[in-house]
Amino acid sequence: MNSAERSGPAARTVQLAVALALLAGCSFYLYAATGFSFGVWNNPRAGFVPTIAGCIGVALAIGNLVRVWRVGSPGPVELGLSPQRALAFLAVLAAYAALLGKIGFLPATFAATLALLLVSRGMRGLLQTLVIAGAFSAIIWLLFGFVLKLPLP
Amino acid sequence: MTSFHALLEGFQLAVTPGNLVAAGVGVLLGTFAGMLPGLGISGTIALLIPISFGLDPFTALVIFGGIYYGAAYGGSTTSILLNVPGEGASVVTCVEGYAMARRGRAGAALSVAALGSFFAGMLGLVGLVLFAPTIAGWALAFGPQEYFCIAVLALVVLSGISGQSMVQSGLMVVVGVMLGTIGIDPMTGVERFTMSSDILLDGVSFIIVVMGVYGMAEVLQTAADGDSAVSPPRIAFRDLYPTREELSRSIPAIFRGSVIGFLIGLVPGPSGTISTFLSYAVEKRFSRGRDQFGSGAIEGVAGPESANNGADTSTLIPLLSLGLPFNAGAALLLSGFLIHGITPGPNLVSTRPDLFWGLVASLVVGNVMLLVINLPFVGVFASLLRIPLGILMPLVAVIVLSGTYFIGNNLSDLWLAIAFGVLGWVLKGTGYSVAPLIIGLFLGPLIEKGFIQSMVLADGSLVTLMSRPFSGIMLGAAALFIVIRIGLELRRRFGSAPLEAASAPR
Repeated sequence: MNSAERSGPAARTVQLAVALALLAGCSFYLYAATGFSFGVWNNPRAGFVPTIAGCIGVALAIGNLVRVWRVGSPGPVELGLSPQRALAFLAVLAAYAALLGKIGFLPATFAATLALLLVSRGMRGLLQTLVIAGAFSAIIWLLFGFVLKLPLP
Repeated sequence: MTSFHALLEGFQLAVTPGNLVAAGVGVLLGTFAGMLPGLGISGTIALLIPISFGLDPFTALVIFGGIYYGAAYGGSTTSILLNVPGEGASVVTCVEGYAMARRGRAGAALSVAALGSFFAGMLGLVGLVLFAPTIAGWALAFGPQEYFCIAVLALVVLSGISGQSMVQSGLMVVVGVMLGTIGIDPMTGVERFTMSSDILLDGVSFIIVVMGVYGMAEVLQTAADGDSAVSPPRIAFRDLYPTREELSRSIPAIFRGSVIGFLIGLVPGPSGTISTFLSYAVEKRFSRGRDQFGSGAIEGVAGPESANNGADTSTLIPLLSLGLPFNAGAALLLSGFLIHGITPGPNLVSTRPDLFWGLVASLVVGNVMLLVINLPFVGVFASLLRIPLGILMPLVAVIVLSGTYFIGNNLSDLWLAIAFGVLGWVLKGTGYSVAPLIIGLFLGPLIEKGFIQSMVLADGSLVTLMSRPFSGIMLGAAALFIVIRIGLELRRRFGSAPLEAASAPR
């Protein structure tokens, strides 16, 4: 993969942000876990394992944060040359998830495939892009709906 | 009925025309999807699970057998032809395989990789036939204590050998366990961590998480990397023949690699990656062509490729006999089985021997198909690599997302897959391995159930848990592993400190 490997202060900031997010997630989980009954050792309740997992998770997340903080950037950040394009992909996929139940499988799949191809390739070879999107949508519609007889949304 | 007779009956099921076609389709699709950079076996199975929907369970097993072997070989093809390792297990293949390709010996490297994979796969399957029924027989006597302790040992070992820091991989395991507690607690019926959302009442589906963190995350990574056109070498059928010397040098390497892979596959963790590196080191030290390493030594392809496939096959022994996956690929295979109502484990061997032996036979068929189909079509596969990722990845994205819908016919699952895709992209991009998370998610509920049942049975006494011979050994091994790992870490940190200080520029 020809990812952009970022290192240095920017990478350290991203690494710290991820480590902090993991600590926040584990802390929130532990906080929520304490809301359930822990029980006793011979009769553990719903909060038993989550509380233990939460405590271990918070401890490890703190250790991870300290490690990132002390080491600086523990490794390169490889989120690609153009994370914006990944975000555009995400937007199209979110629209696909939203539209699938509303306009049906075939139109939604065609629209999503076309949009993703346009994001990925730009406007070059527009006719080819249209043909690929159409053919692909038709093939998977036939495969899922008629060959495998799966209920389509 | 002996194992041999049972296996023969399994073959009667596996070699019907329909199932042979299914195996062929599985191998072809597995190889093609396995060639996509970054997916690996886990991502490939996740991507292709939807094609098994609607099929009868046994045909689905046959397809999965083909996909499993095809995916492993697909990764090798990309490594040898493009110098792009699809996953950790393919890294060392790149070194010697790509060097061979640059010398015009790509065909020989591919055929030796296929032969080695075939031999190692067969060795692993012999081990499966010999050992899995016996282990399953013992496992019938296991109680929740034993399962709890095996799962704990698996997670502890996995945390220690995942190729990143123990803190990082341990954290990923625990995050997986945490995700596994979401939903209604099966022991008490209490709703946990659902944030009052109906979507999470049934918990977070293992397969959806995998489709997110492997399939969707790879799509996002490739989108961010941009469209890249590649030009693999053209390969004719006659190029596939290794020379007599190449063959004679490959055979011992294949044998050594197969044995290494078989043994490493029985250990929890990324067995494929570890076994390939170990095999590479062994070949570099002992093979006849060790002076050619770095410039295209065929032993550097034959050994690691055999080790990889050997590990992928022998890891099926704990999967099928105990129902416990020791790495992400096995967990994915298991999830594919579960979707079709087949639960691997000791009960499968005793109550549905037809399915168990049919599955073993279908794995043999898949392995043979790999050799029969992939070698003649290797030129076609090479040309498929010319399709730009800018076209392929949008199509993969749509397949992953629409496939997510078909798992539970639930549109809200799509949102979960997207969310886990983002999580996987960010985690992998910042150096965290998601394999421990996947195994933690899978084993977490088993650990919780086993632990609670054990505590109830032992009246809350941990001593009782440790005093049972098998569970005591497992917990002791887990504790010993942690102590050794910490000792090694301390030795590395403090033992090398003076050296680093001495060599540091002043």
